[in-house]
Parts: sequence; structure tokens; C-alpha cells
Amino acid sequence: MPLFDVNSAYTDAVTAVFSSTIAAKAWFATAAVVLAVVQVLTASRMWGKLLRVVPLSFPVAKQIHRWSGRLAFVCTLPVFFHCVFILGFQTPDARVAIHAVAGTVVYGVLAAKLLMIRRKGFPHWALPLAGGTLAALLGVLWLTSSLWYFTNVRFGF
Amino acid sequence: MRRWLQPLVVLVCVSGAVFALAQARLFAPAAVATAGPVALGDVYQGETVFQQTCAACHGAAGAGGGIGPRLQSSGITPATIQARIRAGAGAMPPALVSGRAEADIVAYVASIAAP
Repeated sequence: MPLFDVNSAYTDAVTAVFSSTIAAKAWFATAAVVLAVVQVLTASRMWGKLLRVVPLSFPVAKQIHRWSGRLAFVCTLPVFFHCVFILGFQTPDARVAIHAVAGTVVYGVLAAKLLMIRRKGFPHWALPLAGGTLAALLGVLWLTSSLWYFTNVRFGF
Repeated sequence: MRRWLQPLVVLVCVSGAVFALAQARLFAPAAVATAGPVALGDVYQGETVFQQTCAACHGAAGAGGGIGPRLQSSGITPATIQARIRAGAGAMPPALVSGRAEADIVAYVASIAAP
């Protein structure tokens, strides 16, 4: 399939729902960040923190944590496609440069975190540190893209 | 120490792969194409500039609804788009954008104007 057709198919699919591909990117990233907040809250509950804020049993918190993580990952995929395969690594100004660097390492941090879950023997603070770093990176990515779009371009689908 | 090596290697390898893909921009539109004498920039960059600069009058994605005309499916040619941007039209002042941003917007508007 020629590259042009990939672009057209992507643009057509996205603009069937959203006004533009950029708007779609902003909203998918927003969904991912909301789910990242769920991730932080349920992870805190699993580690025995925020028991009053998140009144869930451990198994329920664990399931919500897993599924919100999977869903957040899925939400990042169209953003990943647009940012990496179409826009690429750019540094025209500080906002975009910070976004590009954070976006470059976010999947690396995710992969490292998933590896740490599978492998035992890390200090007790390692996993929260990795998860917190991942959530913080998603926050930075959202602040430097979606928030900028909503406040400087337009707030809408 | 060796325990930490695996996550670090994974972090570096995955980040490096993402960086390489981002540098390659496999599905990026042609950097600058031409439609006759008119330079066309990057459609996706043009989309952002359009939403920021033009959408207030021409509507989101050029769908109309503001004081500017609807651009979607209007059939307007790249040469006309460029001329309107440079000279202005109606309430639109001349040269709202120029240079690379102009080429990007021309590419984007041409992409949505196709009937």
C-alpha cells in the first residue's frame, strides 16, 4: 500500500469522528491521562495508601489498575502513530522540544515498568518510582500538547 | 546491580527505537510538494496552524459557520488559496501567515477543499 494511502486512511478514519487529526490526538491523550490518574489512585490503594480516598478492596483495585492501564495504552496508540510516524521528532520551541523528549522515553519507561513487574527482587520503592515516572511523563505530554491545544487552538471535538 | 541492568537496557532500547522511528517519519507527507507554481507544505502541520489561525472564521476543519466561507469541499485550488492568504479577502487581512506556515496551510486547505 502506498504511504499516501496510509495517511488518507488514517485521516479519513479519524475525521469521521473528530474535526481534525490534531483534535483526535488531543482527546485520546486526555483519555490516557484520565486513565493514568486512575492508575495512580488504584496503585496507591494497592500499596496501602489513600484507603479513604479509594475505598476498594485490594483485588478490585488490582483489576481496575490492570484494565485502566491496558486501556490507557490503547488510547496512546493513535497518538503514537500520529506523533511518531507523521510529525516526528521536532524541537522548534521549548514546548515541542519537551513534548518530543518526553514522548520518546514514555514507552521505554512503560516497558521497563512492565519488566519490573514480571521480574522479582527489586527494592519495594522501584515499582512505585517507575509507575510514578510513567504517570508524570504522561502528565507532561498532556500539558505540552492537549492542554496547549485546548487553550490556544480550540476546545472541542 | 545486574538486576537493574535489564530495565535500563529495555528503557534505552525502546526509547532509542521510538526516537529512530520519529526521525524516520515513515508516514509524513512529502516535505514540500508543488501544485504547479505553488509550494505545498506539510498537511498535518498546516492543520494545526489552520485551527489556530483560521478556524475562528472558517470553522473547525474549514467546515464554515463563522464569518469566513466554508472551505471543505469548496474546490478551491492551491494557487487561489495562496493568493487569498497573501492578498487577503473580505474581512481576512493579507498575509496572516507566510513562509513555511503559508505552505503548510495551503497544503491543508487543498486537502479539505477537494470536492
